[in-house]
Amino acid sequence: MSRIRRLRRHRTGTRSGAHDRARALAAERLDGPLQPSDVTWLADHLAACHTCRMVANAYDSDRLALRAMRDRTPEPPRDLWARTSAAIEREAASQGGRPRRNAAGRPGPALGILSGVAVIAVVIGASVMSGGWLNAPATGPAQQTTPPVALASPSALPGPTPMAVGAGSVGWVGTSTDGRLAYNVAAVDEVCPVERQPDCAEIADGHSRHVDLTIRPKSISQSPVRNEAVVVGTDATGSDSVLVISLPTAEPTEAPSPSPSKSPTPTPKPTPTSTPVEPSTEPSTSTEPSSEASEPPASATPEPTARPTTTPEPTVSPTMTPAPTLVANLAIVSGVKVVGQSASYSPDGSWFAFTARPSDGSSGPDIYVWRVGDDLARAITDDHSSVFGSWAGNRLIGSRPKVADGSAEITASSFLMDPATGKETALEAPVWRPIVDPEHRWAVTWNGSLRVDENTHIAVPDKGSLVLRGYSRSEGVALDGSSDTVADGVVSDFDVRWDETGTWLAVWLADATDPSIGRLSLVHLDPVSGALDRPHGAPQDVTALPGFSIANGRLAWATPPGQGGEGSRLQIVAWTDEAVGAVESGPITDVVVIH
Amino acid sequence: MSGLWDHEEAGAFVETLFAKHHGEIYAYLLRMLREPELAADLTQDAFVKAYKNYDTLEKPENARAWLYQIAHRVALDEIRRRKIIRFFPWTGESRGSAPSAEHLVMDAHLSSDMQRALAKIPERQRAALLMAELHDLTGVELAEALGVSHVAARAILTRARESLRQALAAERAAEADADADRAARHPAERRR
Repeated sequence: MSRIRRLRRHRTGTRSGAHDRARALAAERLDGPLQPSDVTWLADHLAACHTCRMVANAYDSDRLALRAMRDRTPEPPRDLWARTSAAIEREAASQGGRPRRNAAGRPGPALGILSGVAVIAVVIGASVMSGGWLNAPATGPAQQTTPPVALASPSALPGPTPMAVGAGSVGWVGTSTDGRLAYNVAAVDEVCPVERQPDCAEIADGHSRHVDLTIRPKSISQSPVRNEAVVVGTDATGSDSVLVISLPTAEPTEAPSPSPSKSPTPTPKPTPTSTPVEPSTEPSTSTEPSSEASEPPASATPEPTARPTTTPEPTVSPTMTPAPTLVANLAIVSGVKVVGQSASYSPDGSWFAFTARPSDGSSGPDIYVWRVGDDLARAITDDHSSVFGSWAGNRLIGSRPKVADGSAEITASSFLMDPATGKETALEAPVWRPIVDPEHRWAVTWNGSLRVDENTHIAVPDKGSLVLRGYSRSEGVALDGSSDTVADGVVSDFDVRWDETGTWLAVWLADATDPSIGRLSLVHLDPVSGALDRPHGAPQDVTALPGFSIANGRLAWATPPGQGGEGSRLQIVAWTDEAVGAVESGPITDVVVIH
Repeated sequence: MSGLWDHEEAGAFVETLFAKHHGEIYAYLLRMLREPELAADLTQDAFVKAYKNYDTLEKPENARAWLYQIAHRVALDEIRRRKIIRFFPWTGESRGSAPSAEHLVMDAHLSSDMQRALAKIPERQRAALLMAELHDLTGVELAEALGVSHVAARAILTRARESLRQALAAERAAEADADADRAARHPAERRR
């Protein structure tokens, strides 16, 4: 018998001793099973003793509250291994020894631990052989504390054996070291296994081009069929503009599409809002073909930063290569505030839809559509409460809040709309912003009540949950049936995107207190059963800036800027049916992932 | 340090150990000490000590608990050295740098009565609770990490739960008192 039990039993003869024993057992049962006799005794005592019952309940609730701290796991500094390995080397040198280093300087495993390395390799191999990482059991919370993303390699050392994930690339825009915006594309054909992230080399961008924009990009959507992207960004006055920009072709040495810029670009009013919009002076007033522009384009307004305009700028960033500058060709709307992250091209690339409201906040949001090739986007709703959800084929799905007579609760309604005619078809299910998968079989949607933000006049989720619902072309979002919860709790804003197979989706949930950051998760869908699972190794609730891309077995997002002024990092998780791996970039300022 | 073991083997072993566990060790030390930079320094110290004391690891399968034991001792040494008797408030500030957005969010979440209560319980109890509840150490691993028997580790945990309950109750009572004070002051201020 343990000393504790002996002491406990000595005290059971007194009333206070009984209470002490009950409390000790109530605490002890949280850490392991009690003896059957203790279980019975404790149950009897708690049934009769209100105070001890309260204490036991407090132990339970305190434990839950403590465990809630798991949700926020701090990330170690990225240079921690560099510091640690240097300290170990110093220690080894002082002892007359030295960890073995291979030709490239990286400490190499010695024979004594090869068995351990082999175990890791076998585990990875076994995972592949046994059906892959999708079937791997999720690790415990402590093991999940390190997200499956790469850590910066502390030195230019060869990393672990990478895994191939097939051809594919990720694009982004960020500020290069010369202070100018740069468009980058990185081929991500190999990633590092999650288990070997600390040694993983950073990704290198391959196709960098300067980009001249007078707006600070917030979101960039690439056309699915053209070398073209729509850029949503904020100008110096704080208003948003939506620009169209030609992207270069995949060849890094190839000149960008010589699509001549319009001169000058007319700036539309965000009809039908009543806010007058001043004609803009976009940089797209360039009269030079962009293919000749290794210098900034001529601009109707002087650039805010003085730069030589006649001499090709030598690139100072090691990631930049001299290349023609990309310029915006067209401003399709300005003087607005673009709402949310749902802006996207239709699947056939012929339309682009987004939600915007007047920048002065005089009214709520409307859905805007732009037909590729037109000069301007136009508002296709005029109720000042509608928001764009997603595309279902070549019809868009919008949502607007609804208040029933005699009720204070705001509910949701959604509709299909032909972007060409504006003809609406109401969806029966009272859901908000359904995001339909490419196969039109499933939709992720907010199921619950809404509230309207007093300042922005925008409806946002209130009470409810983000769920997966069935979807059909004829019936729209299923009224009921099994709804798998995608996220619940406080959901202030969300962005959900499917991959092209409709079997993977990424879910970004805005932080309730700071919507400029959020938590991103990768979820797998069994398309037959509709069951969602979060495979081992897939990012779960990783901190991410708004805007991410998911396609071709790759999820790319940007981390919030680091401490000490360090830029964000682009993080990419890539997967096959059998394995998952990750890579990341070095720090990038003002990074926006192209989706 | 014996100096008789293979430096190469130890270096490679610690590298592997770092790859697997540095995140959780950093998190543990941060939760114990509440200073990000200090936690990073101590994480580095813990792995250097693991390298120096490689020969004290008897069974490789116990490496995680052994590493926690080292980290725990590093934390207690630092607490004693700096005479830290309570948590520092998590301001999100590290030396010479601005708090990250992530940190600020984390601060808001963690600056809670739970944090304050944890700060008030003895550090060994706090360590036991953190390792058991947040880092999922098993009973055997916890005992190894704390350097005590399994029974003693369980007793520490039991005492820790009672300490935490009392500390939380005190925190909540203090909050209620403060609220009552504020409510009482406002009418007086309005009258002025």
